[in-house]
Amino acid sequence: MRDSIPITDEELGFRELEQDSLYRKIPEPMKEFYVKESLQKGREAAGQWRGKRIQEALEEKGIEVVMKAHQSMAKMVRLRGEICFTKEKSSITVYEDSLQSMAEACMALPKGFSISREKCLEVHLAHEFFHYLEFEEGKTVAEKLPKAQIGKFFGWTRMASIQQSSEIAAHAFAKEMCGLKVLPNYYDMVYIERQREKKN
Amino acid sequence: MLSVIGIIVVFLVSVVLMMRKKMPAIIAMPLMAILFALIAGVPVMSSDPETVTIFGNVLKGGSTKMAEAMAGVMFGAWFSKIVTRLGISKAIVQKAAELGGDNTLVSAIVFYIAASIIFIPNMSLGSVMLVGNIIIPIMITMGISTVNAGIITILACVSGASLNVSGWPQIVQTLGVTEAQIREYLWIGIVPLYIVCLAAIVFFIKRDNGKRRAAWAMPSEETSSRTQKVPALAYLAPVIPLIMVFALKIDIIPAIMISAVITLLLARPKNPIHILSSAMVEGIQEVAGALGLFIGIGMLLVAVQTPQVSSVLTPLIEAIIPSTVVGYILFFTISVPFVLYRGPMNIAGLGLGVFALLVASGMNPLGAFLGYRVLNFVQIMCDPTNSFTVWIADFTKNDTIVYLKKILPWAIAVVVISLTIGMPIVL
Ligand SMILES: [Zn+2]
Repeated sequence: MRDSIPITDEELGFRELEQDSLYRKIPEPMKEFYVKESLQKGREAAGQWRGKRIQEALEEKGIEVVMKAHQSMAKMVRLRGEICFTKEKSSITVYEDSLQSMAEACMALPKGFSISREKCLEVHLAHEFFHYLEFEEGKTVAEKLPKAQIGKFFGWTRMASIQQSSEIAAHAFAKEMCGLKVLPNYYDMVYIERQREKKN
Repeated sequence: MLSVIGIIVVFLVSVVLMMRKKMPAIIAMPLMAILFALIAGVPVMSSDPETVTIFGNVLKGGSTKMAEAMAGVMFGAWFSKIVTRLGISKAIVQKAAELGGDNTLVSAIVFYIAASIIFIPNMSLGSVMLVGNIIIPIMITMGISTVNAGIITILACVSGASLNVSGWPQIVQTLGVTEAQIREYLWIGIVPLYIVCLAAIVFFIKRDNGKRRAAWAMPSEETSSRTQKVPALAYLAPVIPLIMVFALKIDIIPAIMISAVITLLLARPKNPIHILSSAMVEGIQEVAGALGLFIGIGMLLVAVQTPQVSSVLTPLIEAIIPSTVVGYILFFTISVPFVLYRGPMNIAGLGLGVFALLVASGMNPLGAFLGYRVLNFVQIMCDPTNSFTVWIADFTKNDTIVYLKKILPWAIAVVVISLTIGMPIVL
């Protein structure tokens, strides 16, 4: 048995950070810093859009939304959405099967955690919209936060930014924008848990 | 004359049925063997043991004709399972991710090299899934587009497979070249391949500059579960058979067996015997399809070598076999489209039989070997029907055709460069 799925922002943020390919190299005391700072950055950004719906925000920025149906033969969903940013025209792609899987994952959840399919779409859009804001500003959260020292050879230190910080911030942004109870990666984990149960 | 037409019709119908996925090669091959022999007038059976018959030679003799090739792929799959079981593949990927740091191009190249190394002993759907599940989401998080992440994985597939030694016995058996010759001329296809792959990666990543991308990728079992501790020296495991075969000039199968023992000594798992035995069973399961194919190819080989069939086919094939260096280069370059969609030159299907036929009818074995190598590269890089290509396309939510279109020009470059360099050397 795995430990149960956490619900606090900090714990969920930590789970996201664990996905970083450099996670093992991040100095222990810095881990909490990355989680907290990233959450903060996401919430701050959401503050500027308070009272607006995500669809309005997208319209304001002239971002095109593409819905992509992809009948996955392996019944495997790993990609939820994508953003491609260019100075002229940016587009967000949302995968239909990802929406489906998120809505399905919600079915067994208690009230308050369960969200409608429409809400699922908003969460996807808000997540990618946050990346849009990062790109528009020219610096992602990962690039803004101080780099972590990931190695040391003969006095030469290797520094790298922690990509997953942007993901944590995007989750925090989506949570605020869509009025969720939990960070959206909670639904990733519920989905994976359900997949595992189905297998057994 | 009638038998010539009959054989051509059988061949063409088989090609069409295979390409339209109405009949798998595993059935088409033995069927063709039987029909070729029947049409050419080979007797079904005979009381005289000296007489060449369909039962005694084509079916009975043919089914074990490719025995060495079969043993080669079984041992190759066994070794690759051992490497996977010991957690070495995952550890290599993890190390690559750390080495790449946060630079997109550097990471792309490091992942390409690491995945290539993992694919050397065995490039199967299983190993592609294992590696792809980890590296594709990481690359996407770094801002590499989904298509490019898929391309990098496919290029790693072909680069790894190009150094696989367990497929050598099948080359020896069908083309009649020696292992020593393979060793000597292997570089001809490989060097252009690696240079082109690297150039393609740089090109695709650089062209994406100016755009910024991000994607939301869910975690998975593979990425979230902790990696096993693997001693640093064990990272060498995938290339040990290569060292055995190249530096020590040991035969393929003993080389793989020794490599397995060395790998176990380096990784020091708790239950080595269990790993050896279960990897053998799982490995053979993974190559079951290839083994079935080899049975059919063996039958086809025997059938086309019977005096009756060869007297019908040889004049026909002799007419299309090139005689000059330029002729050879053109012949195999023109063959490229026939590799795709399980076409007649596809090595994982009818192609091996066609090659055997070409050599049996007088094509220069080394010329055929070079052609075989480059067309095999094309097949791995471009054929949209490859199971791993289908998986990668599915995973990255792109169409397989997208990969074909993007990679084909680079694959053709590999073919033309390799043949232009190589044919004057081997002919
Ligand atoms: Zn994201």
